[in-house]
Amino acid sequence: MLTPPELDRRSFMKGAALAAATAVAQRTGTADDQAQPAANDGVVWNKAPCRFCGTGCHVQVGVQHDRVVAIAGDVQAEVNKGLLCVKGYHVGQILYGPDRLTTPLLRHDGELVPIGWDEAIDVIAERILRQPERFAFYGSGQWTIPEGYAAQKFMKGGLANNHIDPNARLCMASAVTGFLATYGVDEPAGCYDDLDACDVLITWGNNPAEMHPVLFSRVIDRRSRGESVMLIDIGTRRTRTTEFAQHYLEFRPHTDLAIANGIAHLLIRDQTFAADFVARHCAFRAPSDPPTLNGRAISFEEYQAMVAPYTPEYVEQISGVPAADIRMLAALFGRRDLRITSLWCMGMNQHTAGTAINCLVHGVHLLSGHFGRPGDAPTSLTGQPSACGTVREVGTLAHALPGGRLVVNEDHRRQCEELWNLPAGRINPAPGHHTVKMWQSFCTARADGGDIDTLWVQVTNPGQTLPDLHRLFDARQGKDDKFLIVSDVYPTATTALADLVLPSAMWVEKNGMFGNSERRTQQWFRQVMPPGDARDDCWQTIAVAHRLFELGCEGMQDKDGRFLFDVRDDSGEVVPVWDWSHYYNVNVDRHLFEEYRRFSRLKHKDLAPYAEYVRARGLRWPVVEQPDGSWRETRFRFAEFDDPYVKAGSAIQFYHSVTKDDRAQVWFHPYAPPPEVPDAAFPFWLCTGRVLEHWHTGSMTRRVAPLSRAVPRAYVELNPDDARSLGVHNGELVRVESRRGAIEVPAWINGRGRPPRGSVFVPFFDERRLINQVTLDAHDPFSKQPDYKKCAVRLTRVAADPR
Amino acid sequence: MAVSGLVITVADATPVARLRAELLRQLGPALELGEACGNRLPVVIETATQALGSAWVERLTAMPGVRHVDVVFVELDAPAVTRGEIPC
Repeated sequence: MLTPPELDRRSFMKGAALAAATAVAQRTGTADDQAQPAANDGVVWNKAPCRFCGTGCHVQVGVQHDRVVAIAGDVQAEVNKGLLCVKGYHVGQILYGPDRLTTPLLRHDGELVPIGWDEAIDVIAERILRQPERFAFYGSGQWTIPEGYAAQKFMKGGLANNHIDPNARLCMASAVTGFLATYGVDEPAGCYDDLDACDVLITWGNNPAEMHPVLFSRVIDRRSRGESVMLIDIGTRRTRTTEFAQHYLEFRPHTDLAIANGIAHLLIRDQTFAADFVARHCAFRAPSDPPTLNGRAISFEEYQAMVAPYTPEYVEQISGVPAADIRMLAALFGRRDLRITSLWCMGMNQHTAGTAINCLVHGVHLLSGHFGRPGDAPTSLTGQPSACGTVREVGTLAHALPGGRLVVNEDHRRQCEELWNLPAGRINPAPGHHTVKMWQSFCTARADGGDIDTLWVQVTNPGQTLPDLHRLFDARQGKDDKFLIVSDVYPTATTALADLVLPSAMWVEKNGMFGNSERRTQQWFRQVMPPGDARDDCWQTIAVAHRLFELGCEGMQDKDGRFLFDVRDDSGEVVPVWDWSHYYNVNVDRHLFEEYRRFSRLKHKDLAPYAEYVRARGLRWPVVEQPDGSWRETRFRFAEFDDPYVKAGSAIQFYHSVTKDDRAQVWFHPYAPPPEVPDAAFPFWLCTGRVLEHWHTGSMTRRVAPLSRAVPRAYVELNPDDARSLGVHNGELVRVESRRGAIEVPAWINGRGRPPRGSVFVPFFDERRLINQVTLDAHDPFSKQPDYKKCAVRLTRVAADPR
Repeated sequence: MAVSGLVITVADATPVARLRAELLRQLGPALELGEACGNRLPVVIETATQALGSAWVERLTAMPGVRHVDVVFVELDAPAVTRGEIPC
């Protein structure tokens, strides 16, 4: 029986005060006040998701005289509840850099000269027609869902060409393979609500205080209200996140594998694993020979024997994390009264054993039963606004088809051919080139075996983000048979080497849809016109497709002879959307999305009708129609209390289990060192990453004055003791050099990030200091995702402070 | 201890959630927040003296994002003002 708390005078007075204040607030407030910021001087407000990260905050965009003049956090948004980060508050300004691209540009004699769109489309179509199989499309987790879907259909359904891969290969591919190997289906089971319910938050090689600050603030806000939430930061350097943590576990790069195995070892040794949960819902797997994504089945006893060597002392020896801390982690996971959320991002994904570490952290949660309740969640975050919605769900990867399908699967190809009304056999069964291979091939002369001659880049900046830039990007110079097409909004390191540059519309200059890290699909309408002759990326793809159709390319028609992007109005008449003047006569986004959502049921990633997303601040799939005609989103997958697809009475059901028995897989992967480690010649670890104020390559944020002034240039963080040994003072120029290349950057000592001895960090946002000339292109064997977090460098003091 | 019930009217361009976070940061456990109604936020502050409570009202009024602060409840039995207790 509950006993009511004692009511003392103080409590009574506070309650009375709050009641009075609330009553007054409600008597003078109206429901309309909550809807959106009040219109003021002709400013019109509309919703949109933020252009930046995978959090998916919603903003209210204030437009006046066809210009974005104000931004506010959207109080109706569940993700951010009206809050924005420093980038989000400035997102409106990204449209107005002085050097926006406004006209197509074709390189003649080394110079980019303006041309018209018709000529630009002709150039692209002609290049593709030469040899369609030697054409590749490099896309993006910043593609809107319709943009990615159009490119996907164009390539795989039209050209029968699977050489389409996204920049998200560089950021979350290992998260995908980790989810697939564990649950048989991609994307997190939980959602951001887990952050509101967890008792313990563990960040694994992740700095959410800077990279996903609005999400992080949900946890910190709870603590400011007096809730007890333990933060454990497991990282290779101290960051702003560390400052909020009760425990900081610093590990040697790559040894997170050992830490995860160490936790599993103790859970079994101490019999604190969730025996009933494991018996009912889990199976065990280990690497196979030859290695495959799904490995081989093992027994619990075999798994126990495999983790047996990972004693706390052994893990300490490998990782540098004290044995006591390993025991502390295991003790927490061994408690069923706590709810534990693990959060990770690039530290675990940009990893040559990224699939393995993802599997291991999922495995710790499954082994300990910390799964399937709000607050109990292993959750991978994404960096880009639609890496999930576009890349992972539309399948704009070289091996994938929409809705979780694979090109190698005959049934999947047949389903797509039917949905696209294509002749049987149209889709190519051979996976195309993943990102590293695509660029490697593009930068290799035909005579030397390079099989990609024409490459179209949309909404991304590979000239800054690819690893080992000299080899994977710069090397295309001087190869006259290669042709690079770049659609972007500003000049970048990529447009600098482009043969054809196309000006693109950006964010609220076009209709769009994104899918964020918690499976939330979001929609917005165009609110301002793009500058000059900039046009939607989706239109560009459709226009090229139609030119090919006009030129008789069979791939651009379905089996009834209709154009692949046949769009009709409500009366059934064809709308020539390939003609820019007609593109917005209809809502092409709605047309493409309604076609695409038919693909989404196979893996239970059901999407609602477009109109539902217009109404909502996003919906988390699977979104399932209810008997009353409403649409209900799903917050927690695989858990009976919320997932409509879970069999009644199951409690938990992994209905896409790779073992076809409704079980998730707990994996063993051994620790092994990374491909490149510091040595006598290159004695430092290099880690690269981001900063709060700049988003990715900075092509947008470096043009926003407050953000650019806050962090004007890249730098190298180094440990003060290392700096002293090198004779480097704060601000002095340091040469950071690997076996692949070198840059010079000023030192920042005791700044916001603090690496340990023998380790340095350089952010990658500064196009004047391309740290990816230094990084390594070694990648995970399954995800093909490169490792930007560890390679070997040497440091040399160059000069006194240049400022 | 003195208890004051206030209604904070939030400026048009300021998200209520941001102001809530800032209030929590500045006042910590001395603050209790109610549910906002539109741009009106009911709060209760607890201070050592009434004078401190008055000083906080002035400070909140001057805070960025705050358009107006109405005092709707004051605990009248609290001790008299003591010099030197103005928040810095």
